[in-house]
Parts: sequence; C-alpha cells; structure tokens
Amino acid sequence: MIVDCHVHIGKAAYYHVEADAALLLRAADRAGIDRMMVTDFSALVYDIKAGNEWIRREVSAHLDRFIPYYTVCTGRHGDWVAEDLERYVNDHGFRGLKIYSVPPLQVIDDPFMLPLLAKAAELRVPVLAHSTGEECLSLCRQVPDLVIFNAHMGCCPQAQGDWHRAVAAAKAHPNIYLDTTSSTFDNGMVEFAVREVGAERVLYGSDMPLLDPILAVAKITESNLTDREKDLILHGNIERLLGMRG
Amino acid sequence: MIVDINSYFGTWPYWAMEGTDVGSVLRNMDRCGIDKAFVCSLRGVFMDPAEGNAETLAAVERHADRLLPALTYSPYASGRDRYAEELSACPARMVKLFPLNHSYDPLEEPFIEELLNWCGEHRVPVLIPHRLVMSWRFPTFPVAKIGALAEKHPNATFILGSINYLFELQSASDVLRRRPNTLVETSAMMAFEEIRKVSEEIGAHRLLHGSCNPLQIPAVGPLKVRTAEIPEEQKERILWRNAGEIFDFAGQEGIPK
Repeated sequence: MIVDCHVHIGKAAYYHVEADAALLLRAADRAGIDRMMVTDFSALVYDIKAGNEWIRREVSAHLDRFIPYYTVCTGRHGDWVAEDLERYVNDHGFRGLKIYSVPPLQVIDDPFMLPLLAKAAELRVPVLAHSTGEECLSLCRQVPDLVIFNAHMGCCPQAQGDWHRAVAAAKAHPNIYLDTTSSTFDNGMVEFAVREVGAERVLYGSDMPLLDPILAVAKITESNLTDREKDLILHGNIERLLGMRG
Repeated sequence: MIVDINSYFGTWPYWAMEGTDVGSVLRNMDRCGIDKAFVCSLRGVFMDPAEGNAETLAAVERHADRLLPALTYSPYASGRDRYAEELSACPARMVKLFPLNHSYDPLEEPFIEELLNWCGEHRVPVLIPHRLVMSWRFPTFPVAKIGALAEKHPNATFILGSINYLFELQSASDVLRRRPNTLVETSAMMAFEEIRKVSEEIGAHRLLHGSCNPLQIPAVGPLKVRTAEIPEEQKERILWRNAGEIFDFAGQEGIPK
C-alpha cells in the first residue's frame, strides 16, 4: 500500500508539464501508488477559484484514488478564501491545504496567511507547505493545532537543499512532518530524518508529474529502515493523519 | 551488464555519511548489479588532485576487475605534470574536471587547453559535473561553458554530468544538439519520464549511466534506466554499451563486445 502525499495536476508553463487525472492514474499504477494527495497547478500559480473548481471536477470520478488539497497562491486574496477552503473540505472531500513559498512574491510566513492556516487547523486538515523548515516552525508556533507537511524536507531551492535544517525544525515541533519529495537522493537522508524525529513523522511524496514516482518510492524502499518504518512512511502515517477528521 | 561512469569514494566533508570507503562502494555495486564503475577519490576533489589520483589508481589496482579510474587535474595543484604518464598507463580511463572545487575557469587556462588537446588526441573522455551531487546545496558550473569547451576541442569527448531538469536540461540538450562530441550522464535525472524524453529528443546513444554512488542512493541509478519506457536495446546502450564504445573497453575481460 502506498499513499503519495505530494502530487500535482493541471498545467504550469514554468514546469513544462500538463497532467490530467488519466495521466496521473497511469503513472501511479506503474509506480504501485494506491492513492494520491493532489494539488492543482493553476490554483498554485494563477487562479485560486478556477483552479480548485477544476481539480474538484477533474478528480471527482476517481475519489478512490485522489485526495485533493485546496490550493492557494498566497494568503493575500481576501477573507473569501478561508470560507472557500471550508466549503471544499466540508462539501467536496478536500483533505488538506497546499501553500507555496517563493519569496518575495509568494510568502507563507505572512500575517495574511494566518487566518487561512487557522481555518485549516479548525477543520483539522493538514497543510502541505513548500517552504523552509524555519517557516514551518514559525507557523506552527503561531497557529495552535496546525499540522504541517514540510514539502521536500528542505530539498528545494528556497530551502537551499538543506535537509538537516528541515529535520531540526521538525524536531523542534511535534506538528511538523517531513515530506521526502524531491530530486535529491542523498544517501542516508531518510534514515537521518527517521533517527531524529521518528518514522511516524516522515511521509512519502513524489512531486509527480514533475519528478519520477518510481524513484521516489525507491528512496524509501531502498533506505536502511525496518519494514515497519517503511510502511509508516509509505502509507501508515498519512492514513493516521487523514483519519483525524473522524 | 551495467557500467557506472560517475562514482566516488573517500571522506564526505559536509555531514556524517556512512559507507563512503571503497569496500562500501563495491558492496553497493554488488547490491545494485553494477559490474564496473569509474571511481574518483573525493580527496582529489576537495584537497589535493595528486594525492586523490594516487588513491584512485591504488583502488583500481586492487579491484581491477570492477573499478576504472576517473582522474582529476587542476592548473593550480600538484600532479598536473603527470597526466600523460598516469592516463597512458590505464587501458580505460577518464578525466574528471571540477572547476568550482579547484577554483578556475577552464576556458581561460592554458593547462586545461593542453590537457584537453591531449585527451582529444588519445581518446580520453572528459566528464565535467554540472554540480557535485544532485542537491540544491551545491553550486553549479554553467552548462554553456562545457558547450564552449566542446566547441573549442572538437576532437575531445565531453560528458555533461549531474544534469537535473527544466532549464539546465534545456541547456544541456542544446549543447548535445550542437556538439556531436558531447554526451550526458544520468545520475541527477530524477524528473518524470526524463530518460525516455531525452532518449527520444537527443538519442539513447548520447546517454551514459551514472549513479553518484555512494553519495546518492545507488540503486536509483540503474532503476531509472530499467524502468524507463524505452526499448531494451536503448536501455542496454545507456547502461553499458555506450560506455564500452567511448572508453574503448568493449571486448575486454567481463565486457561483451
């Protein structure tokens, strides 16, 4: 059983990709991935309202395979966004919030983001944050009960690839989880994360269709961990977390 | 059969990493089905090319059936006067240049010009990593400069190492299209269907398998080629046949023709 906590759908000019549900399902089948938490590209970089509505329609026929995140570009689009998040979670089966930090245009440790994060905490849905460990830590300290998946666990340009700092941030707050998604495959990085914060707080993710999900799975299966630890990372933790809404 | 053209051994300076000695490299190769690997001492990358090359040659001598030498030289370090002697003594060999680690511009250095002329004359391929390993922590050497070197030295064979995706892959593809004396190594190719796309766009005959063992998870190197949706003949090319041709070791012990 594999549940992927970090998948994209839609199109983005910057990333040279265009993926619909059918493409993702085919790729997931090849990689042995059973379910995917999926976020829409256009809501991430262009149009929150249209993007979230598009993903709702696109995955509606495959809710046995897709678990959508509600996705925002920034927290600076007004109060309606928090209300919209609540509607998508309560009415349409969305189970998380995706936020993206590429300063200075897209920032998440931002006063305007806090009401949205407070709403996510109130709704008890996790937040997938493309960000640094320090930003995740700051947000967790500002918003009680917020649960953050630190996307890429530091292995993105914004965090300068520093997974040690991401792990240290996660160690400092029990509500930060480390998402292993990235094109970095440093030998021993997953083992280090497990040693420092426990396998219960490490999550498998692929970043498909940007990155190869087969290799992302191998990052976990090829690591020097016990089968129980691998199972937690590949599906057990996300199942536990998504069950938190009851 | 799998040949790995991008492996290292030695001390990793930036964080605690287990299993970077030669014995561990060989065990990783066994586990991943890698038959032969070009190895380069990290001492030569970070400290002293001459001492590193001595370590590399000693490791290759001890494990001649598995390891092949990737030697490095710098215009500003000892050992630069030994390249012809050292490389001539090895039947299959590679030069690996680290301009960022050795602090020079290869387009501006008379020694590098001399070395590359020699490599062209003696059919010694030259690998220049875009980055040391696929991590956003590491600085990158401009792909266009590798292209400029390939243009300046049309008789030498250049391998673009550690290319990831998006703009850097576009730059690498541009170099590969323009310069027939260039190939690309796969250790940093982690993108979705990247091996297939590059094979279709540039040709599988221009790709060489590399794993960055033991710095990166070594199994991922062969896995990305084996699982690529390309014909088996192309996988074979990438995994070893292209290396056999450019390094002139096809038909040697353990290597099919």
